[in-house]
Amino acid sequence: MSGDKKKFSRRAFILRGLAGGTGVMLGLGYLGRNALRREMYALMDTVEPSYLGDASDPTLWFEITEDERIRLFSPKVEMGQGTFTSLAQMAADELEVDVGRIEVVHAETATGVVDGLSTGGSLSVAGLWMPLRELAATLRATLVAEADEAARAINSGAGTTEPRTIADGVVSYGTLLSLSYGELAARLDAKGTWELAETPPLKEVADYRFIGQPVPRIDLEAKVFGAPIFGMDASAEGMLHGSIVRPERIGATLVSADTSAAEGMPGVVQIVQDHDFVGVVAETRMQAEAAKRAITAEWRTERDWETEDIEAMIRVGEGTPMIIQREGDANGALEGGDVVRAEFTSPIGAHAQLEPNGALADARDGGATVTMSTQVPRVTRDEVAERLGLEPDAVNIVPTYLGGGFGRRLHTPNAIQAAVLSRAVGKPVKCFFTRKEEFQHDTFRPPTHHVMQARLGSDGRIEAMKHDLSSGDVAYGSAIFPAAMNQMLGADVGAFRGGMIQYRSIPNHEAVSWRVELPFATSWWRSLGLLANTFAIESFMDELAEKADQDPVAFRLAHVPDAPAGARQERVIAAAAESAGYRNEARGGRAMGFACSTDGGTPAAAVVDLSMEDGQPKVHDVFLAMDPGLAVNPDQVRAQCEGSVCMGISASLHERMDVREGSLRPVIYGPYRMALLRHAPRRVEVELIDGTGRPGPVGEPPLGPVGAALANAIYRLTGERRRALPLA
Amino acid sequence: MRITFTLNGEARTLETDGDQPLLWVLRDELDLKGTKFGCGRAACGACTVHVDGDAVRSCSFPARYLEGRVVTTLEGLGTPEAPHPVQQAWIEEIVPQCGYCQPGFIMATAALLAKNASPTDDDIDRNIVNVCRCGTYVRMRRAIHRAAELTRAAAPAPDPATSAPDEAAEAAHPDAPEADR
Amino acid sequence: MRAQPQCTTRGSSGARPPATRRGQNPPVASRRPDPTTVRRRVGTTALLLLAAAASSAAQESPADPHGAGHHGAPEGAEAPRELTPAERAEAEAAFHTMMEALTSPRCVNCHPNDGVPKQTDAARAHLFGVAGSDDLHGYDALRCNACHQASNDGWSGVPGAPGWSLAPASMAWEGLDRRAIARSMMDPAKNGGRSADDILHHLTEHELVLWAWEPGGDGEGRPRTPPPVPLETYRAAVRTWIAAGAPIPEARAADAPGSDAPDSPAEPSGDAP
Repeated sequence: MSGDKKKFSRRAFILRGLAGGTGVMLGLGYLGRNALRREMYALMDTVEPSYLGDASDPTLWFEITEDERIRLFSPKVEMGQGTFTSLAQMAADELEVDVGRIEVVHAETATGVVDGLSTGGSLSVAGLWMPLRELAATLRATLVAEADEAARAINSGAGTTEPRTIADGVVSYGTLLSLSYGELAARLDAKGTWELAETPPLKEVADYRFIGQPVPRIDLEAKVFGAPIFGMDASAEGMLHGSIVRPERIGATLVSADTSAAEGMPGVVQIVQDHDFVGVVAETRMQAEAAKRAITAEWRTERDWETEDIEAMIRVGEGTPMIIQREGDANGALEGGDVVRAEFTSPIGAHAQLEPNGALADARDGGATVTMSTQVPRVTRDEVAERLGLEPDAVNIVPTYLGGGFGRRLHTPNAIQAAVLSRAVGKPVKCFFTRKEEFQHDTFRPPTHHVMQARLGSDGRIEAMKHDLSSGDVAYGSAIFPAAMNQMLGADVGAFRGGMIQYRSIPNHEAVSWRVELPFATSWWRSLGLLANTFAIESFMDELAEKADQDPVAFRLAHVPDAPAGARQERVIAAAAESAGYRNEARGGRAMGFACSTDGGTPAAAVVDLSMEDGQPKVHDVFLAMDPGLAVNPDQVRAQCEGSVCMGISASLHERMDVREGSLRPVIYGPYRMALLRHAPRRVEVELIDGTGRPGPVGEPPLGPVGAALANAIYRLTGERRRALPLA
Repeated sequence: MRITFTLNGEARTLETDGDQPLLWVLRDELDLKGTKFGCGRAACGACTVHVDGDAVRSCSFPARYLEGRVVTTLEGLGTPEAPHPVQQAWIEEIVPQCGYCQPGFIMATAALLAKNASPTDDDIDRNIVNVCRCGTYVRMRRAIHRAAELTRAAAPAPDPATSAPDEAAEAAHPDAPEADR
Repeated sequence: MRAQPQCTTRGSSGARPPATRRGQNPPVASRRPDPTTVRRRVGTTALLLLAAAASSAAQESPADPHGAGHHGAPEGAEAPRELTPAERAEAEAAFHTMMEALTSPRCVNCHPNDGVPKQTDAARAHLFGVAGSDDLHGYDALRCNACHQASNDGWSGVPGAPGWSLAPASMAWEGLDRRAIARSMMDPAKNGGRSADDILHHLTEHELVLWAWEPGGDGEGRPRTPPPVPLETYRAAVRTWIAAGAPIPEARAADAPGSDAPDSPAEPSGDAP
């Protein structure tokens, strides 16, 4: 065996190098109509996990390195949600290597491993569940076929009858022959072409070693020791720093800019005016910022907006309505008296991710390379190409780890701006937002207004329920959701996320989504409309339970459809209530609140336990039960639940953006009141249920019930029903 | 201006603009990217480093005050081979999600434990006021307590009730110069 | 306006011992250039006057930490020397000029009555739950100088001055009227054992106090509001008032708390994020 092994010299095996060109040619061709429709519906209320990109050629996705590691080029980006670790687990199991051998890197768009849409919608692991395992299994089968060929050749061509085994990336035939994946890749390389094996059947879940285990995050070390992995950390030889002059006021367009004072300032290389913006390029970041401060720009605005103007627009009855759900005749049943009615609102929300947006662009020599945090490498590539007048494949987007995503990086005009500056000065330029710019030029979670109506029957059951929701746009105007698709759908799938009534045993129920165009950009914010819609529906459910004189949990269970349709919903409701020891009364200065929601097919239920201290809610414990299906990495699913609870508390209790004298405010942490360590619950208990046997959405669904559970607990404790977010 | 200071145990001299925030000296002039830019207004804590043993937000610390000071950044705190107790605890508890705010939290926690190796939950709430958007707070609290355990195990300290926190800070940084404060 | 905590904690009975941190804030007198002759002369006079005033005050209101019991007390009790009507009028005018400055948010924000520094002209609680702590320099990992350095920082908008810290509880001005502030300020039991000379120096020369007149701009470059009295006018008023024996005028309706010290924060409290 050892003699055989020596036949293979050690060298770098670049699988991609051989198969390289094919990926780039895929371009946009695969954005076919059916796939679009699939993705369209996938993003609607019932998500069908899918991956929109080529997933047929493992040589595009994997590289075997000289030191027998396997590098996976991920089309999905890592923004903290733990996707890279789950992908490594999936690949390791089908490749039959230790998960420690898998290295996951972001696929540059030039590799051809390009996601047709985005990293978002909680679909990364779920969407790659089938294709990635198939790719890994195909690669394994290809390598094993090569090993078999080698085995047939030994003993002077007589071959061997020793049984074949695979252990941690080494294919062995008894003691006669042992070939590592690296050695096999070298043999295949030497042939000049890779003949891919048929995709073998996938393993049974029960046979997996890593899938389903709490494997530590593979990026843990990089993140604990400060490796330069983020877009903000990118640098290049000869790099300059850029800064863009941005308006403070909503809807402002540039009239003119006096740059004379900035031109002679230290380090200033060039002032760039291009289309609708003015930018500075200087030797250091602070020189660029100083020069920007010295530029006097004149802006034109139609009017100066105020919060009150925005609130007057976001009203049910304003804008364009679309029925998104209808069963029975809710309107008929709600005519006459005895209708319970309540209104709810939620404010403008900021993403407030810690890493500001920006990019390092090198737009020389007829192409462009842009290194940055983006959730949409393909969209970013196409937009940069269009602005620079290049073919898409002349632009390479190099995604980095994201210092937070939450939907903020689904719009990337910052890539264009850096590229324009780079082209103007003929050098790499790094250009980042200030925090104030980040707050004022966010693509916000839209404010909402909800009207809930219901009628209780004499048996204490809900006869009819209607949810009217008014919201600014989420999917409309978004580069990842073409206008045509919105027209096909007729309603904003992001805004109405979570807005349908999940208690489908109510005989008459209806949900209507009212679309309002706001004067500033609103868009995807983690869980989209789910947090606000659930706040309205689930607060209202508690109000109805009280009117019906029933326990809130039992009342909900009574309206969940019978199994099998309502089975998973029922289980999370029961599990959360049981885990918390839910009680419908205040005790010892504390009270519990319950809420549940279903997002993208993942039901979640939460119980919060809080007290009031100095008039402020103090959250002590949170119990969350969720059925995301198979948890590829249960520890990271829990982490997503814990994070959602904290983000949900922050958004529901404290955060709001206002519009004052035409500007979005505040523009800094602190005044933008985000939860700190002291506001986080001391205890978050997460109970995971696998009701499907396959991975489903994880990152957003647990946010759903948080706001309503808080409001319900506050009511139970204080008797005060708060119907507007933020609650505190 | 010409500035001489100690950075992660090494004497450094550099020529820089005295108004330039320490953050950018570290990141762009010295290529130490472990210190993060989050807000530039001392509001988020992502840029926290140690100056003479105190947690300092480097975005509001002008370079001119560096003269003679002792600065520690995340890179100087520990290595994968020899992690600082806070880093060790962060790994054990799998704290980071996106990871961007974590260096600041780790540095703030290290500064806290150098002065108080047995922080209560209230101590943690008062001292650690950085911002994390992913909401890793629940694990952070666990990790801070775990790091405190590791710190106490590594160097059995005198009873914290009788030991002045400031002495602990000095012990951690014996070379700290007389600071001009 | 911020006082030097070392002086005050040292002088306050029952207060924690001064911080032992290296290099922090040596006592004011040792760091200051020599006082001017004018100051020395005035100070000496005032010192004698003050000694009597202080002992008198201590006798009158031993259980009245805020000096509220002084309302209606004859002013002569605080100014041992009989002033001529003209002198009295001049001292009274000086008192109010001085107090116009001292009751500005730039001064009162760091003389809180709850250990929580205030921020902005609205005097809302310092963000992020920041509080002064026992040694008035912040907590273990959140010292004042975690953010505040020895000068204003133009990039971050974080204000700074040497010795940035909070005035001790005994020097709480927040919520007090002008007369109570003056009484507190001149009371050695509350002012850290400062003599009138020390007080004069603190009020007119100390860097942390003078910061109020160069408060810099915030993170968006908007200038902070300085006290409503020009620095030299203020200084002259302080000298005049102390030279006259620091007499505290009769109460006027306009001097009530709230008219000169902002109270309820316009923004959410500091414990909110």
